[in-house]
Parts: sequence; C-alpha cells; structure tokens
Amino acid sequence: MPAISARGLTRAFGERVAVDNLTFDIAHGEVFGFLGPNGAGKTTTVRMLTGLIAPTSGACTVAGYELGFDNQRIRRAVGVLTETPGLYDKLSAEQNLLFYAAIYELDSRTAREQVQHYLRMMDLWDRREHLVGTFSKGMRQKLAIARALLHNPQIVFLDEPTAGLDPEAANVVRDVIRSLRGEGRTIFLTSHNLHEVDQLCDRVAIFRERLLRLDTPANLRAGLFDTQHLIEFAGAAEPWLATVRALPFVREASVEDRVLVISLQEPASQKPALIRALVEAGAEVQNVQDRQYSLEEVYLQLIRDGATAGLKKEMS
Amino acid sequence: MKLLREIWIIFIHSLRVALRNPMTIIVGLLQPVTWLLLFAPLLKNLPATAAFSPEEAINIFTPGMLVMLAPITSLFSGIGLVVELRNGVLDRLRVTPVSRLAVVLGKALRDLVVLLLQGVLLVAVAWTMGLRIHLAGILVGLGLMMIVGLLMISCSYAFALILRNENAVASIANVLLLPLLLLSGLILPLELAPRWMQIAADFNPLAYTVEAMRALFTGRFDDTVILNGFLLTTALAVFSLFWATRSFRRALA
Ligand SMILES: Nc1ncnc2c1ncn2[C@@H]1O[C@H](COP(=O)(O)OP(=O)(O)O)[C@@H](O)[C@H]1O
Ligand SMILES: [Mg+2]
Repeated sequence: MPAISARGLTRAFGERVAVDNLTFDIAHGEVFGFLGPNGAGKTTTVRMLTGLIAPTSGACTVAGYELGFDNQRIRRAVGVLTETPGLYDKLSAEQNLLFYAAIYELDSRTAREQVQHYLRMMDLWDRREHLVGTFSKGMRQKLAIARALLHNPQIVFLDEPTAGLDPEAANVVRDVIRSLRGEGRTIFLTSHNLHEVDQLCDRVAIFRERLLRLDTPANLRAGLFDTQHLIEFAGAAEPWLATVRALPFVREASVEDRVLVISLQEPASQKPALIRALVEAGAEVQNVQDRQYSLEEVYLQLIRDGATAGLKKEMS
Repeated sequence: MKLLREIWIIFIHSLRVALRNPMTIIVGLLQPVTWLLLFAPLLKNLPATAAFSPEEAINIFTPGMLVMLAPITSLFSGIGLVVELRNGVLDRLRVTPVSRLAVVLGKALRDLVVLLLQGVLLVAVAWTMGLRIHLAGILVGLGLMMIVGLLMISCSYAFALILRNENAVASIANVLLLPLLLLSGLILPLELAPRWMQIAADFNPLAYTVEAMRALFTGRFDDTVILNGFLLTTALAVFSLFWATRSFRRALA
C-alpha cells in the first residue's frame, strides 16, 4: 500500500477551483516534490492531505487511513511543516518543542530525548533557551521542521520549507531534508524552486491547479525534449548534413552556427555509430557535445502549456 | 481522562505564553479597581429618595460590577485568537491530534484565571470601602461570574474564528456590551427602570445573573433566582462552548 494515495482530489473555493482532479500515489520512503508557481494550489493540497480542509470531491488515503474518516489517526501518523511556521515567539526553542511533545503524548523522558536529538540535528541545541522571537528566519524554519518530527512520523509534509530564506539558510534546510531522506521517511515537499526538487526528490509532480506532469527529474528532462548532439568540424558543417540525414537512426539534423545539431532515436546507444559513420565518410570531427534542456526549460514550457490549456478550457 | 490531560496542557501553555506579557495582565487587573474607585464615591451622596440607602449602595453595586466584569473583559478575548489564526499557530495545532474542545477550553480557562483574579481584587477593594456581605455568597458568586465569563469567552472565540478579524470582533463586542450591561440592572436595580426597559431586560440573560448574584451576596440562598441564574448561564455557556469548538474545527476550511 502506498504511503499516500490520492484519487481525483478536488477543492474549490466558491467558484474558483484551486485543485482540480489530482491523482497520484507516493511510495513509502519516497521524496515527492510538488512543484508549482505561487497560487498553484500547493498549500491547498497539503491542507487537504493533512485533514485541515475537506476536499470538495475525491478520495485519499494517508498512511493507510482514509481521509475524512480517520483524520485523527492520520494526524498522529504525519508531521507537518505548515506554510507559516506558527511558533511561539515569547517562548524558548525548547519550550516550543516540549509543548508539542506533550500534545503528541510523549512521556517526559522521551520528550526530552527527542527534543535534544532534533535540536542538535538542526544545530540549535546551543540556542535552546533563547526566545524564538530572537531567531533568524532560517533558525525558525529549522525549529519548525524539528517540531514536525518530534513524534517520529513516517510521513512528513514540508510546505515550501525554503521559501523566503536567504541562500545559505535554504542550503542548511536542504541538508536537513537530505538527512531525513536518509532515514527512510516519506516526504511530501512543495516548492516553487526547480533546482531544489531536482536535487532532493525521487519524483516530481509539476502542478498548477491540475497535475501537468509526474516523473523522475531525469525523465522529465528527457521526456519533453530530445537530447541533442552538437558536432563541430574542422571545416564547414553543411557538407555533412546529407551524410547524416542518410543514416536510418537519425531523427532530425540541422546546422546552427557552423555546428551540426542532431537528434537520434536512441541517444545513448546510437551516438557511437553516428560518429563512426561521419569519420568513415572522411569528416574531421573536432568536438562532440550533448545538449540537454534544463529542468527549468521543461518546467516553464509545461507551466505555459498548462496556462493555455486552462485558458482554452475556460473559453470553450 | 485524555481530554482533561489535553485541556491541562493547553491551559498551562497558554498561561505561560500570557505571562510573558505581564503588562497586559496587570492593566487588565487594575481596570475594575479603577471603576470602583471612580464610581463608589458617587454612591455616597445618593439622595434620600433612592430605592436604597447610601450604606446599602456598595452592597448592591459590587455584585453588579462582578457580573459586568465578565462581558467587559471576556467579550474581547477572541482578539488574541485572531492573531493566532493569522500567524499560523492555530493551524499548526489543528494538524495535531489534540482534541478541539481541549484547545478551546484550555485557552478559555487561561482567560478565566485572569477574570477570577480581577473578581477577587474587586471584592477585596470593595471590602475596604465598606462592603459587608456573606462570605459563602461571595465564593459561589465568583463561581457564577466564571460561568458568565465562559459564556462570553466562547462567544468571543466563535466570533473570532468566523470573522477572522480583530476589528470585527471588537466591534461586535462593543455593540453587544452596552445593551447587555444597561438592560441587566447591574449598575442600579431594574426596579428603578421604566416598564419597557424591564420587559427588554427579560430577554437579557445577564439580568438573571445579576439577580442571582445579588441574592448570593445578601445570603438569600433559598431564593429561586439563584438556581435560575445558574441554570440559564450554565446552559448558555455549554452551548456557546460547543459553538466555539465547532467554529474552531471549521476555521479556515
Ligand atoms: N481559504 C481560501 N479561500 C479562498 N481562496 C483560497 C483559500 N486558500 C487558497 N485559496 C486560493 O486557492 C489558490 C491556491 O492557493 P494556495 O494553495 O495557497 O497556492 P500555493 O500554496 O501553491 O501558492 C489561490 O488562488 C488562492 O487564492
Ligand atoms: Mg503555499
């Protein structure tokens, strides 16, 4: 059974549909990136999955429990970093955590151990007695993540954990997520930052009101655009265009700025044959490079397509 | 048992957070004392035609003040909740398995402690000004005041969770406050009021509380107005508590 399984999850606020017919499965131990621009409906999705708001339609199981029927069990099984951390500024870091430990019914010894463990992990142990009001944004975010972990949940929701952090603090938070991943927890990570999900996630859902694409970061890159091979010659490139086009496994070939740009049917296996064919035909190959589209280009393309699809839907 | 434990956790925690802002509490505590100091001297010079003598005045006035204290401080307690709603604190609590009733009741208890301190202080100051009443009556009376407090706090929480705006909560509290107070006979007995006001007061739950409180203070324990006052305010308090809890469950949904 998957850790989280959503079927046709939909949420409307009045007329406005924030999340439309969302379906996915997340395996145990998977780090699942939920990527979309501001206002895409990421927080709304997290709020549905954690039982804060009810879906307008659709069904979902979290940790094996049916959302809407077993919300208390779900709440015990998951840890959540909410969009706004909601810490008590007038209490110390330790007091903030101990309060939540008590709510999760940890006995006082376990509570102290857990609090110490996570404060050390977040590098906040030395600051444990300081008021949270004096903490930087990054420290607050780390403390809020520690709070989400106190009761050892197997599933952790992190709603934009690095949003609004300076690059250094964001990196520290990403390191924390990496170590959580090492502990085998299932993580639902929302973000509007591509590089973040690219680095951290096993699979990425690109989402804007509806699911636009769901795959591993590598497949996302490869799936939307071909990998292209750029070949430079000692002389002009044009003469070799015909040679290349005659090869059966070449899909497309063109010349850009004295460079031959080629797409193959199966880039990995056919590239050596391509080069061999050129060399055998007498070409002086000087340089061969692969051009891969960045995830960013894939993402922007998808988001644009998603927007126009939405527009078409509204007009029809 | 679990519910009691959770109420206790929330209560202690809220109290701890509140104590980090001691000025707010101190100002709140001084408020009723100020009223007493400014109002009681006026009672000394009541004309002989009044329904009661100047000596009785403080005994009539203090129970009224005690009832008045509850709406005046407690109807505004939802404002703090709006702040917690906005800064994510409530949302964060709502993703834990903690009982929703425990959250509302635990927070209400914190506000009730402040109210109780205000009440005790008020009675103590009134005592130095010549209040001479039944001791057991005062104790039960403070209990009655707490029930009124719970009613007002719960209503204020519900307003806060539904309206999600400090100004709106304050406006509603202000709009409700004046008729609640004027039509309860708590500043002066309703016997002095014209007929239409007495009829209007029949629909004001606080009017019954004030009557019960006066009976308690004068030691008339067999008077049915005491039981009526308790039953009515308790019923309303329980009802409003569930209303607030329901609103908390649904807040932001
Ligand atoms: N409680 C709400 N009431 C009305 N509209 C809402 C509410 N919450 C979110 N929305 C709307 O739903 C859309 C998605 O919001 P959100 O889930 O917060 O996006 P994200 O987290 O991806 O930035 C936005 O257009 C937002 O205005
Ligand atoms: Mg968001």
